[in-house]
Amino acid sequence: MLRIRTAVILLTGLVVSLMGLMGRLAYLLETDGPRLRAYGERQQEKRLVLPARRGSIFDSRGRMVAGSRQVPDVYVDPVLLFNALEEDSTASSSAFDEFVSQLAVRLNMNEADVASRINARRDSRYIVLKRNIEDAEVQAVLALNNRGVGVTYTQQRVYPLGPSMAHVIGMVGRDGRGLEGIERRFESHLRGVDGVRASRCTVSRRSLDWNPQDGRDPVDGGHVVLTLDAEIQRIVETQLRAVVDKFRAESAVGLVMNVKTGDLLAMACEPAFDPNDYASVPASVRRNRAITDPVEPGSCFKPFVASGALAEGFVSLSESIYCHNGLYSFRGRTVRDTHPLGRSNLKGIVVESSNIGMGIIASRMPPQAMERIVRGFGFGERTGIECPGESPGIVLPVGRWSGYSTVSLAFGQELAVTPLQLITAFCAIVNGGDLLKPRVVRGLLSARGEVIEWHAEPVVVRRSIRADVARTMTQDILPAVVEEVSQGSLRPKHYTMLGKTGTAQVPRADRKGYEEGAYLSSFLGAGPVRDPELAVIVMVRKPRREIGYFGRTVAGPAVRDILDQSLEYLGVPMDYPDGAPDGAPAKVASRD
Amino acid sequence: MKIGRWIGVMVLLACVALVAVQLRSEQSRCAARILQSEVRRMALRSELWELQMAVARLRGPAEVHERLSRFATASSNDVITAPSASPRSTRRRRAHGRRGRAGRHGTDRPTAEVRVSRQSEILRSSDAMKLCRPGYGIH
Repeated sequence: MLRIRTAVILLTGLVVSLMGLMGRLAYLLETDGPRLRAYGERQQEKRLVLPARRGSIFDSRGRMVAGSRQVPDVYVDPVLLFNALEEDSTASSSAFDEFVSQLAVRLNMNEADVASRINARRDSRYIVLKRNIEDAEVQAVLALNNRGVGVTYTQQRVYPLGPSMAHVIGMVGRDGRGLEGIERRFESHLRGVDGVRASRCTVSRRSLDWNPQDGRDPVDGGHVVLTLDAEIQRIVETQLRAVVDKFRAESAVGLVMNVKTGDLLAMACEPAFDPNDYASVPASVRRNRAITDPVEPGSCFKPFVASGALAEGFVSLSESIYCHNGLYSFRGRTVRDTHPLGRSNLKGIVVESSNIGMGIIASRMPPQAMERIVRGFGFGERTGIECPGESPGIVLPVGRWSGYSTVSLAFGQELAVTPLQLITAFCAIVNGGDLLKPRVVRGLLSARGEVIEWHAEPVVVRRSIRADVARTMTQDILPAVVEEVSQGSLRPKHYTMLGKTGTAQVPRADRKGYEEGAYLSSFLGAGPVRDPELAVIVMVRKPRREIGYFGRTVAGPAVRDILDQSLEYLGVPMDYPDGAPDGAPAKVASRD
Repeated sequence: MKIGRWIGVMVLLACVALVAVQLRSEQSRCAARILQSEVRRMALRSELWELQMAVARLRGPAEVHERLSRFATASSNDVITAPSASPRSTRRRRAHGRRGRAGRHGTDRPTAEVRVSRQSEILRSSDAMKLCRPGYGIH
């Protein structure tokens, strides 16, 4: 009897236990099933990530200016490390200290630092101890033969030309994403997609099988080809550095543009920075000031107003204008010329850089006509260049102009333009009147080098001036500036050049008036005169006044040398193969 | 069924089991080898990238100009520190007679003026820039 009762109790207990287990199983399957299944699969799965390479950036002649490489980092898995040390029967009680000591010596690191970093995150599974280690260090770490320490490879962006083109290319952050410049603008094109291989593995993480269907191959990022030429860029950077050093200037910007296509061949800012170590310089140094910082152009702006006035019939080439010998009042505001001028025609006014002469011409124009001329050259709107962060400049709408604004604009005040806008507009005069869209990217290639996009043809935005007016400016008026302005000292060695100087005052930070003794010295040049190929602009901010501050003395020689060397490099036939003829030009003057 | 047949069946089954185990282990070994190959491929790619970077650095215009200026210095020193005679140079000397030797150490040694003029020729920026143009070995 007792036996039967015991058996029934035991059986009932067993059934209840089984039902409990089944209930728990049903509960787990219902509530936590997918998570636990995934957890189990993850335990059995081994994934090998195959890194995709970020695309490279090349200059117009195929020199790599940005590329990627893989660098080894050493990491520690504290959980595995302490397990391994505990399992090691030969290890002493101070095994951890001994291990840290060995590791620190191999990595040339401070022992206490290594220990504190591991101890601070003992539950972590991944602590990077040192990045970008040497090959010898890799071997030394692997020789420790501890599964808690390993070497992993990460991609590092490298800029082989160092600071050259840094402001255009930009840089990549630690997460591999483009932060500035072309790296940021073409992030989606440059970035690849990592591949992965998955296999089932044993508890000791040894692969059991591998299925090609599981996982995918890496897809490398595409490449970007720039219009910039590293050699011309080097020429410009060398000249800018020399100018900044000589005149102890605050900064300088230089651009070289193909006048027939709008392709930029060089875009440089000084001070420069090394994108391989971008964190060591402030963000202000990394700014591409050629497109982000609008400035008052000063006398460099006169050719645009002069050509517009000529095209719209507000002045003729033969008209003689009285320039009041260097002092004149426009609606109560006094305007002075650095070099007093009596009677002169348009050419003389531009060559002598007379503010009064330009003011008199501008005062004949209704504000709408002046605005049409200014905007016709693209001022006040973004050029649409591929670099991010471009400023449209400042051109106030006519409704906000004062009675004096038309006169001010005639000599480059009351507006702000970027150096890129200036050189683009200058190219419109030099190439016969077409305002071209400037560009810095020639094309996009796939990772295998197949062409995805290619920009060879120039993009005409609009016609800025008539061809005959452009010809007059480039063949008659602007070459005279170079020939007559500085006793021929701005004449390049092998080529003829046209251009315009500019010496603008720098506005105060509070926008009330101008800084005392602070100037922006500029020069816009192009050559050779018979058939211009290149345009060059150099703007030097705040050169030391006692050393020199006129555009012709500060920026002019730099433009002359850049143009001479760049044209020679490009193989443009020389005007003077044996050197330019010496001797002062017919008329000697110094104008800005 | 006689005992002999039973043994035969058992041996057959054992063979099948052994083959299955062998196939399975071979499959695992192949998987490991494929993964090793992937890792090796990654390492080779990494090496290739490293070499591409080195070439890119060497092709940089600033680097080219620096090498050219170093070359100019080396050419002026060259006449001072002549390399030791090798069998090849001995043969050449024999073939050219005394003049071959003189060309290196004797009367054909460039004068200081010639050396300076050669150096300035090489240093001329236009020459340096020619080397950066397509068709001059840089591209």
